[in-house]
Amino acid sequence: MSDERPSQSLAALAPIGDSSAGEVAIELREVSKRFGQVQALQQISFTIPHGQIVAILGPNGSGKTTAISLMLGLRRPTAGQVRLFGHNPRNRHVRARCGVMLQESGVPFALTVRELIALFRSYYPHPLPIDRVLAMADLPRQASLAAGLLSGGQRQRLYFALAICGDPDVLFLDEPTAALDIEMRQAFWHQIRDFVREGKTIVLTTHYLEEADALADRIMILNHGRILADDSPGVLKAQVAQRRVSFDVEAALTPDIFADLPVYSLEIAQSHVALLTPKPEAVMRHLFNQGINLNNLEVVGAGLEEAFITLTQQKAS
Amino acid sequence: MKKQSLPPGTRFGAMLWHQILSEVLRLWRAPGFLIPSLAVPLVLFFFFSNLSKVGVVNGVSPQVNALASVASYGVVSVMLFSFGINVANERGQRLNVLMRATPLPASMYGLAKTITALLSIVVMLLALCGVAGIIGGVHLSLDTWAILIARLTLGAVPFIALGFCIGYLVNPGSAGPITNLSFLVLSFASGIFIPLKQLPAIVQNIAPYLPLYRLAQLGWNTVGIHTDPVSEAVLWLLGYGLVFAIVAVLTYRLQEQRVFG
Repeated sequence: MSDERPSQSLAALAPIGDSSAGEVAIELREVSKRFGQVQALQQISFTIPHGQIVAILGPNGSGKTTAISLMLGLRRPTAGQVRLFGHNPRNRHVRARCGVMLQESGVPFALTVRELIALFRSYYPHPLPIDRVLAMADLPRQASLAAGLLSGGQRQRLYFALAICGDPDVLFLDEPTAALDIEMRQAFWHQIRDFVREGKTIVLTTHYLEEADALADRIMILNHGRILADDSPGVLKAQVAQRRVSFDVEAALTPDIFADLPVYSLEIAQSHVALLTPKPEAVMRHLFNQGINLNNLEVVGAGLEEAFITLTQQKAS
Repeated sequence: MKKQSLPPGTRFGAMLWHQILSEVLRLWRAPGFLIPSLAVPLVLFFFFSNLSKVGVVNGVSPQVNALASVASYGVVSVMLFSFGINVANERGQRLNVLMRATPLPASMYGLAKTITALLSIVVMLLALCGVAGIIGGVHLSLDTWAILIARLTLGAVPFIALGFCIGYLVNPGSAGPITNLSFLVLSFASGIFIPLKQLPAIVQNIAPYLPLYRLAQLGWNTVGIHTDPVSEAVLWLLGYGLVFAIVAVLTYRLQEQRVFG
């Protein structure tokens, strides 16, 4: 099993009490999902305690959206069990505690921002005041604009407003910033951080490691329907403390020189070599022992991006 | 504790009210409702009531004939375009998925759409009858006006299921053109545009099997155009309603399986 959770928060193990703190918000037990021939998720298990911000990270087709759909009760698992606050996620009382931003979902474009927020507020037992929602989503100036007239960034903010207007305990965000440019993305992170201050649980999927790093307490890396890693961003980065090494050589190298070394993402372009490794000293020593002359040697600390590449390659091989 | 407060049953009324209000606003602002469902019947009414050179069509004045025919046409038009195609479009936008993730019950969403469609039909009929009575040269007794509107509104009920079928079966991209074409053919073959007696024998033989013909019968019989008995039309419409409902349930289940399974 690849879903080891070495640093799982203790809160997840605490008994369910009256207060939300320490309560288990989301639990997946041995959950699999199959669409026809495609195995979208394979025996996924995890627990998310209340108040945690979890980023599910992975390439396209890794199962992120399927995982969110199962947690929201939009899809049924082929096997295993999904629980939100200990109940079936299809339960209406559970839904009353969830807010959601889906990928590519429309709204009736003829309605104004204020009308739509008012409509969605009516679905929830304890909605936030409408002006507060407008302010949190940075939409006060667009309040009387028809949804169809909003720009891409404004529309995304509207979806955020619709997700938070019910004052949910859990917020699901499926690739919330996929269509945004970098400035809009950062503004959006700011809004999410404001919302987080109120002790909410957030599950977001993203392609962007930067986004996961900026927002999440915990990152789950998903690939081919399996959890490759599940840890805090700091631990994940340390766990695969990679260095990016690049250098030039006089005579072209063959990849088998690196065969027994801890080397990932090896790229050899004629005389230029680039690679990732947790042990740059060992790699260098090996190359010197082989009598290879290096020029323009560079060793830099690698980020989450590199950790991600290493993890997906390690587990795939 | 907030997290355990359950939305009480009385909130359903408020939810439904809000949902209907939003549907009405949406429809009222959408050219897709105002043009095909309100403007087209009015234009057709004036067109057909002035088309005929003869003083009598189907045994009544051309104006009365046009009103009864176009009113039935308008009823089905609202169900297809404001209701069915709207359901298909919202499915295309994945709005149904977003709605499903909210605490709003799926049945409430469908119910609000259905009630709004019936309201639209009443509005359309009132507008059409109002215009026809005030400036269109149609003179009927108050009873007849009331019976006409009531019968056609009730007659719309089987077409609710047809609207759902279109909403779930038709590909959102092609829903508009396909529905338009089928509806045009259906209207001709049902004797809406041209009196059935003037159409080829084959069409006259097919017409009694068509749902729009049976709905139109309700209108025709009310204003004095005598076709088959009303009871026969009612039975046919009930039968059609049942068939549409079965297909709607099957397609709904298929959709559930595909999108929410």
